[in-house]
Amino acid sequence: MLATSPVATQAPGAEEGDAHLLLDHLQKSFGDFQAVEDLNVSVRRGELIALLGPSGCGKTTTLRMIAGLSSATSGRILVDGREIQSLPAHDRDMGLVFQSYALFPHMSVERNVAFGLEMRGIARDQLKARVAKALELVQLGHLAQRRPRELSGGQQQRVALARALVIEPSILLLDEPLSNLDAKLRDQMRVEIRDIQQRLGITSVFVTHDQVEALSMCDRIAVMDKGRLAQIGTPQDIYERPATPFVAEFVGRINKLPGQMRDNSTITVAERTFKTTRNVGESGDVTMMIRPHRIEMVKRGTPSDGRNVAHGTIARATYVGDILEYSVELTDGVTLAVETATGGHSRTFSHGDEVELRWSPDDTIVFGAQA
Amino acid sequence: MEQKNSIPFTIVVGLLFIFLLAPVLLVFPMSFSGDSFMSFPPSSWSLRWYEALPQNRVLINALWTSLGLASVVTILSLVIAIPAAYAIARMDFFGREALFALFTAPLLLPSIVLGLAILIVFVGVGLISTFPGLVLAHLVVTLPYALRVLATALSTLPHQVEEAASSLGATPFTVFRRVTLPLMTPGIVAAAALAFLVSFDEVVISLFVVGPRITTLPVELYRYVDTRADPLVAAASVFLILGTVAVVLIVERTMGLNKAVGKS
Repeated sequence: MLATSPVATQAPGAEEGDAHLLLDHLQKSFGDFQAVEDLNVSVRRGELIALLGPSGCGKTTTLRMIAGLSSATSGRILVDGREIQSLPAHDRDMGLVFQSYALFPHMSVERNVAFGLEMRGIARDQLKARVAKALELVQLGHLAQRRPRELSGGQQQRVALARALVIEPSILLLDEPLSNLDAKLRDQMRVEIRDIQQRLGITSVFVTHDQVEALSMCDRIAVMDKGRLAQIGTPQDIYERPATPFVAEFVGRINKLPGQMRDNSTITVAERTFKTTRNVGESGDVTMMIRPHRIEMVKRGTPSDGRNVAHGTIARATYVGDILEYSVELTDGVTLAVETATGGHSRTFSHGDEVELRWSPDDTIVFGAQA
Repeated sequence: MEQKNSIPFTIVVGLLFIFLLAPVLLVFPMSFSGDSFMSFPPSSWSLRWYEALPQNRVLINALWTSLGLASVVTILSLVIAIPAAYAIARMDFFGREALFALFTAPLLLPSIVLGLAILIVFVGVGLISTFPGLVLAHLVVTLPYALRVLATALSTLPHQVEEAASSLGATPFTVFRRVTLPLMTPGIVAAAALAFLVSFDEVVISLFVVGPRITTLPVELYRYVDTRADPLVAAASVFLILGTVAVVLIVERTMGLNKAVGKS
């Protein structure tokens, strides 16, 4: 299942014509360990693509191969149709931003940003102007003379971004750039990076383990699992139409129930019957998945409207600000997670309340059970 | 270290310092002795041994030899140990660990064994009682120190900073020159100071290599004490102590001693 589905959305080499960056059958092994396996991704010009996955899925290894910091065991990396996999890092013309910022601690902010231009032999007056412009872009013009250690984490990450952008690289590579920042700053930098990326129209690869970052910032997401591409698509594709159970579980919360397919659109889960419009040829034992916030919770006895229905009792209600998380125990002991927005007209339930759950057959996702 | 130490702990440390430093401190009053023999306390005070010191051609010549020797040994130690430490800390090749062990092995051997071994080898190739012979012999003991300090300095330096530089277009050599080397400076200063002091101070191995044509200050001081008992060596020692303190102070002032020896 896992092995066959990834290629469905991406025929190898299919988009080679208009791809700015193309990873073609890219492979990396460390001894017996396959860190990246047969990876095929094509990135369009000006696109921000996320490499999303848990730690150890091969996303950072992939980024390092693109940057030239790690060599591919086999496969090709193409930029504008030109093979670059054998070029050393300093000849690849990539802008790289690290999670740890990796600023030069012995140089001022200005000298940090100027470094890449000096390496390119840019004339002094032009260099000064470009450094000033890059620092302006990240709103740090006033801190040009500071040393990196005198700056906050967010400011350091902006310097790292300016340093990578000032050389006008063909591709911008971001390795978990927000992971060291606190939550509030992270939200702000997310908007800022996306804004700068779109204004410059720079093709970018963004490595992250955070699905919210990937969903909110990127044009497309490549979800990686154990060194393989699990799915590639727009945030909507990934979230609404996960290609594998792994993707469904990794991106967003989801309920998982074991069941059997009766016919092509009917599932039985412990003597209950549900309808689905999402079955793609599965039969026999299956796993049914439903997003907690796609389940509507109503008082019992409300007239049915063709949706799936289940009855249960609230086992736990957790208030987390903008949403309420419920744990609902169905009559036969199966537990479903349900999320509702707080405030407004939605009514709240508390422990012990008997409720009726409803969700659309369109939101009833089905995967083969072995996966 | 911000924390306040307890009083008994402070007393123990204080006693330990006195125990370690008392003999060194005794040299100071001794050097101002007016007597012809070393005795404590001196029966009279004078500056006669300080006046006699510059008159002693043998000691002065040995001092210049030792200073020149320590300088050459320090420079060579850095020239050899910097690339070696870089290779050991940054590159991945077969026998890396073994090479590091081999490089630092002389630290574990008794100096007397090293001295004897060097004597046996040097006699055959005519290096005994020559400046190059002394330089080579001292390098055997200074290189392990320099290599260790530099390898530590390199291993604490985040590799990603160098990777960032190369992604910005810097060739490996430029990365080393513009990023790695400047960031290693504290380690280099510490390694230089250590190499200089170890070489300047070396007696045992030098004893095997010196000869009538060339001799070092510690060897000459040792011989002087062996044959005579006047306080001239005390006056010489005062200068050595002050010189050592000066080197340590320079290291401390330029970057802080803790940072230089790799503690943070």
